[in-house]
Amino acid sequence: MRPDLEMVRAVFRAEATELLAGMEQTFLSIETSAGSEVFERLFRSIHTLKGNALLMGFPAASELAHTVEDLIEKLSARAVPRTAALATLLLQAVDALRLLIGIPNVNERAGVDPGEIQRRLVAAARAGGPPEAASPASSAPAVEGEAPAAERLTEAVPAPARERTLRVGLDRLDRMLDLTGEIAIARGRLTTMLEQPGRYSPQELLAAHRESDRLYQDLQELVMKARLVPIGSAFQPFARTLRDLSTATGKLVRLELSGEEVEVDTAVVELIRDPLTHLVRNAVDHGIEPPQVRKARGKNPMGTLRLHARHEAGGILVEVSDDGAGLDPGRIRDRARAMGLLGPTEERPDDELYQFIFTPGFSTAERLTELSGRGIGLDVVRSNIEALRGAISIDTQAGRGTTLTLRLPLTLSIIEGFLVGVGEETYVLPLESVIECVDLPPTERQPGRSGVLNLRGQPLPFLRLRDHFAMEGPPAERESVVIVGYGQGHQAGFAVDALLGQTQTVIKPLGRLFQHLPGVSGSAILGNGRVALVLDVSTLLRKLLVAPGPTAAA
Amino acid sequence: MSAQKKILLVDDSPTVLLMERLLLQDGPYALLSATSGQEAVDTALAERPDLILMDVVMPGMDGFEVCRRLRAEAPTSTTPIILVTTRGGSEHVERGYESGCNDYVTKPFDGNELRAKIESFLGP
Repeated sequence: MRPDLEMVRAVFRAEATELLAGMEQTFLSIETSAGSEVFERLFRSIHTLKGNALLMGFPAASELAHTVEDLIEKLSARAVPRTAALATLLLQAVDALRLLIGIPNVNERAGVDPGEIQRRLVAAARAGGPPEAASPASSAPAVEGEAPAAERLTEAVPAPARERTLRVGLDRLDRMLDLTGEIAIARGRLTTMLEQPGRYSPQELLAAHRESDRLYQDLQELVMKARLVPIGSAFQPFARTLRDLSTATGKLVRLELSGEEVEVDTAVVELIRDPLTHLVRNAVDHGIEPPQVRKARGKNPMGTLRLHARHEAGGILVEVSDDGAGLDPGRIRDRARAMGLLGPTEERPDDELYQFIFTPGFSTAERLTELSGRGIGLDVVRSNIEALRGAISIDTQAGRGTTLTLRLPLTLSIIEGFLVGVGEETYVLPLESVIECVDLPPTERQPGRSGVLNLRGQPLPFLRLRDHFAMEGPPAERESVVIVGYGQGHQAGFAVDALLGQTQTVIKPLGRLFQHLPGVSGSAILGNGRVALVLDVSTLLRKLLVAPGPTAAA
Repeated sequence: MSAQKKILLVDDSPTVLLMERLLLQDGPYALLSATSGQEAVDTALAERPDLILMDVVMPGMDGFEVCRRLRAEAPTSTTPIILVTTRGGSEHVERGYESGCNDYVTKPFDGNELRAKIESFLGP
């Protein structure tokens, strides 16, 4: 019965996560726009949660849900006024329910005390008036047994590792099952043909093989499609984040979402949540000005934060824009000089100055606030995005605002790869970054990690993988350079022993031991059963360009 | 050998459906499921289950309404219906009997109690 129970728990958590997220969105706008149908849905959600929590052995969560249900019924009947203070309390109740059930909160918030929330909900429902606006922080250790019911609510539930579940439409699963059947038939036919030597021509065998291969590819495509979910589920929690940030900073911010229906791999949605959270906090903290300042500058006192997603050439693009103050090149220059990143008299164009904000430890904010000064910088955001084979770029205008653009692959697990051989090893480069291949001129074939090649009159920095990976053994007769593109029209090369052509590979994450290996983003199993490392082009190139060879200063 | 007895499970919560399935899967029953009131009515009329185990609070058509509709149709006018309610719903029990259900269980239900109730209608 154990594995079954695990399965029920996973389903329960997934369902509770969804129900709570839905309620959270509704509570955000409950003061203004709530028709009876909205309340009916709320009531059903909390009622289901209450019952399920009981079934799964979370009596405290069920008790709290019961109180919320009670309050919702009163709100629906207008026996209790719909106020902002009450909305805040209900949002805190959502946090408390997450805590009690052991669902990770998207935005970590200062200590939620379920017992305290329970008491205030009961008071609000009884009084029919707004609850006293005691902040949760000020009442942090308030577990001194007041009401016995409230005490029971503080039983701790260890937070489990995040459940990885996904809902897949039954019709999609059925089509997969059909295809599995067809593949079985095709394979059976191929086996029968192979068992009768001489009866079928090689062409016939190849045709039969190709048929089953085609079916397999259809299946692969379906499986990848089943992993696609709308990116909106990663955007919606930010309505809550902004509400909390506005309250904390006194800034007025409106959230504008677009492109929520754009579908991406479920893993992408999970993995961009943290980087996006950081960018959103950053925009509110450093970008958007306080209302008085905005007014004085002739802007709408209410700032706007836009999250926008769209498809772009094989990937997706997510923009985080604010209409705040924009980056100040002067301050970035001063800070870069103070950190020794820039010579005392050295000048750089603004575009290049902006890149410094991705340097570890770089922050020009006069004070590190509680919101964004939490030890994580944009450098971490960038490396997170690059770990997803994505890229981040910045566009800013003084006084008008800043846009950070994330480019991400649609799916994380399958890439079109370009295979190269170095010594005995095979490496995979993402095909999308490969531009062309040229011979390495014999004059450049000397040991040393990097060099610069004359490519049709242009200097092309290159990295010799043989040296980079400290490969032993004699170099090949001929070496080639694979030219890859990065950034805005820049090119660089990798010198390799052999070009082995393109292939579709499934990327597997590296084990924990090798996770932080620089320049490698994963591994892939090749057709011949051997393992190949998937190279992380941007990290490798950054190494090459940050520490250029003596002649690579161009 | 007579055909397996069919039980229709109705709930809009996947957690509850899965739980009920696990509790009953070892019994001599064929299990069907529906995730809304309308689907419950359609499935009950098409499949003629021997027993229906049904949630009360569901979007669209609730459990009471499903009971009333099924009682009004000849093929399901006497099908045993057990309602699943949640604590604090004494008015649910009353309304449930009014709408024509035969019995009810309260969450958190006990597997043995649930199986015993079902057996009392279907035999062991």
